Amino acid sequence: MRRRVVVTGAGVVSPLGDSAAALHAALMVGRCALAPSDLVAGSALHAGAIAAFDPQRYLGDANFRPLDRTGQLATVAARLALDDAGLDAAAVGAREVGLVLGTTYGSVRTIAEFDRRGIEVGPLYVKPFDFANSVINAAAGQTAIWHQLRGPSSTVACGAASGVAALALAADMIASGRADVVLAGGVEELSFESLVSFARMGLLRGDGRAPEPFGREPAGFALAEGAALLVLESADHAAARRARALAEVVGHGSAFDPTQAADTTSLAQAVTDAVQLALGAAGRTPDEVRAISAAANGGRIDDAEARGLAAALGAHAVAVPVTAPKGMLGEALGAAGALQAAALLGAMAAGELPGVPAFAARADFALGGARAGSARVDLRLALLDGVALEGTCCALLLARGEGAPS
Amino acid sequence: MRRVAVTGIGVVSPVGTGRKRFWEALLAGTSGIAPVQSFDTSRFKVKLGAEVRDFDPAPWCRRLAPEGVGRASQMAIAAARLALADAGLDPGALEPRRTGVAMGTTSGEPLEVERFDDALLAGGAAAVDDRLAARYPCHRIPGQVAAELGLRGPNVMLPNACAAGNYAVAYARDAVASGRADVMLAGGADAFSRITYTGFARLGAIASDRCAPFDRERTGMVPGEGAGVLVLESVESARARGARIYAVVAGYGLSCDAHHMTASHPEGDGPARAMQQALRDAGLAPADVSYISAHGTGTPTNDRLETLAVKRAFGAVAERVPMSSVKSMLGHTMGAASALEAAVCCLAVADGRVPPTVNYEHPDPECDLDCVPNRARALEVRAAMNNAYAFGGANASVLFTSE
Amino acid sequence: MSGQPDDIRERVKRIIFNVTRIPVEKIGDHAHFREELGLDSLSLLEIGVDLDYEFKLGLDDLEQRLSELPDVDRVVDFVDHRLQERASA
Repeated sequence: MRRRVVVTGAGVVSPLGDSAAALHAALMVGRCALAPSDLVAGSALHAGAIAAFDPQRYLGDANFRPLDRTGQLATVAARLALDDAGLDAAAVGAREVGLVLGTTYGSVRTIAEFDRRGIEVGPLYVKPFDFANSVINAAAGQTAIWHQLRGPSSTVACGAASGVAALALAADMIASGRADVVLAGGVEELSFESLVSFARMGLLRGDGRAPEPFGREPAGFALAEGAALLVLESADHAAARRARALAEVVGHGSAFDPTQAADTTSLAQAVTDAVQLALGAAGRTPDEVRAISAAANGGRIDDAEARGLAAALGAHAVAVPVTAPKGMLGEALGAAGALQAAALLGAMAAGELPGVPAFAARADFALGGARAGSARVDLRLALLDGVALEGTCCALLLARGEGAPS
Repeated sequence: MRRVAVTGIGVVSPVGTGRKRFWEALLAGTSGIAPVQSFDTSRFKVKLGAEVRDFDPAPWCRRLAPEGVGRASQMAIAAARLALADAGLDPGALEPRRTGVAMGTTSGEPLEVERFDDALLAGGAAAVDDRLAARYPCHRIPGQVAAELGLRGPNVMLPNACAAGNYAVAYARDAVASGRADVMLAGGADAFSRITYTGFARLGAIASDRCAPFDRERTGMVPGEGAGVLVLESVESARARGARIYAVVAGYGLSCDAHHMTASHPEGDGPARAMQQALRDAGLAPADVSYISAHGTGTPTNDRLETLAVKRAFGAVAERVPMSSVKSMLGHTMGAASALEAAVCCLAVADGRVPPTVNYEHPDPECDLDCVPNRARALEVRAAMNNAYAFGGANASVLFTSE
Repeated sequence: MSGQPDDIRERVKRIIFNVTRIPVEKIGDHAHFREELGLDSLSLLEIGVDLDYEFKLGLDDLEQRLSELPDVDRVVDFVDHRLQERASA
């Protein structure tokens, strides 16, 4: 018997704010997190950096030296999520709380710096702290230690789809009875290493303007950093401790494009498959979907995502409101899906959905409900979409919780 | 929920490529540990590694150009093709949307980081290319396996370091059991690198002379590389097509120490909970377990704490359960380790033999369980438990049983 | 490079501060690293590497040495001794 899975809290650390409500409010007014980055000297690249991130603000006067930036972002997001869900240290200690953390790199900066130090001063002088943080699951380990999360613990890597995949895996852990409470989401840090490499791939927008999700031309995306963790819980467990259910995870699905996004039609098919599997798992029909949070980021996957979503939603595709936060937030890779989810929680609570920045309606665009402007929307069922540049597609359906205002 | 069987095994390992070579080598006590060849170790005090010698990706990468694929991915592709062949499954006959890939790793493709850094230090930012974005991300590993084989089903990388392979098998088992997929390729891969070697050397973790798990004079682990992939499908499907079933994936347990980044919990708490959870999941008692494939890295601390954890989980029964460490022969193949060790468990169940812990000479009162010293043993294995413990305190135990 | 014990002591404590964020004035000369300052094995190794690099001690058995130097006083003595050894070698 599969148990129902609800969301009882969220923690966010992002360039647009450190709560689901703040993130939603920023997106509603179209605030753009992207600014010229100084990480790659002499370049005009824009990125969504979290200015003056200070873990002490959230975690008090403690020693953060053993954690790198990725570990600090994740640890802070976990604190905020646990606080939001009303789970203090004693409550966590009394349970085996799990953790599923999405990421693309862990921290590529840390492993690269560890390596460079070895080259420059020799293998005897490399930093042990850096080695511990160079494994891709380091941030999950640090977060678990800091908050005493002793339940099932996993890192998930699926590129920009990681956050959605993490939420799906955590939901399954709870639904199957393997855990009662699991923090799930993702983290990604902005670094010289990631920024210069994506720039070299020719994927980033280079003209200083904000990315345009679902734009007429895929002019490129902008990288960003952040972390978001949602507290997933069995519905019974949440009810027993009188925690409010902000949302319910009612279904999810995933698929892969074996052309690794080289063929738009093939990628679109994977998007369609993921969404249809999610709807099937949830026992819902396309016309029940009230809103879509799209993965579109201004780059190559946008067109495939639009076509894939349209094929999955059929006749309903012309009407469903669409939001695409990466136009304002940037592409936070491993954290993206979780930030999208947190933004959806904010949207559900407020009953309104941010639009798609700079979107100009056009007759041939498959998602008829896309608008530049925001709208009042009854978000009783929302589709969260994650699409990775490398071919992974994950879709997750969130129903507004009874604990949230409608 | 459907019962899930392992019907194919593919390996690229320091003791050989292919299930048959691998198993025969382990039963014979063959070691893949030797002085490191792929980079200069003159600045290190330690010299040993478990590298995969003479691996040629060309026969395995038929759709993808091998030079466009990182080493860990190449080995993963090879192991995947071997596993499917071993299962008697033609890749072209698989239903693409019903076939998925779940892999684990510790570092992904660390050679790409080395390449980036070498270029950066030599020529500055102008000298670096796109490969840290295009090739390095670790989810490329399962992605490229699926790209090579044309698979459209669930695709995930679970980079849980030294326990990653077990996580991948657990994920794949759930995918098949729940009906999300009909066939899953599950395993792990990691490539040998200067970065990884430097790190473990700096921690003082690398053995000075040989890998001797549970031996009182043991001096540490030996970094290695490789890939292991299992084919998982439902028992019904396997029977329907007359496939050989090595074992059933009966259950698994996951836990986190939440204690220390590189050292285990001092009382074996997390590992014990993972074992107990696996037993509960499989509906088995400790007395039902015939064999344990240990994490058994060979470091003084791991082997002692692992022994403690097994005693905690198994109670008095612990001293009757043979527990060997193939890391004594394979070294520590990182993300591939628990996948290769899962293969060992399946083979033990199917073959009625268990591999030894080699290099065992001096009994250690703190590691006083039956480590199957030096010689393989014939044994009816009705249930085999695969234990793996990772940096960051993530623990995973998977139980394999006879059909 | 000065080999005066006071200078060494100050630099040792600064390294410990960098790794642990324990204020220098709170690092007692006899405070046991593990038992009183609560430092774990990874932190001790990080401190050890920084000490080795700072003072160019040239140790090839750092982990072993660290287990024999449980507080600031003994670290300072060891470094002082080692620097003198290397200076006269």
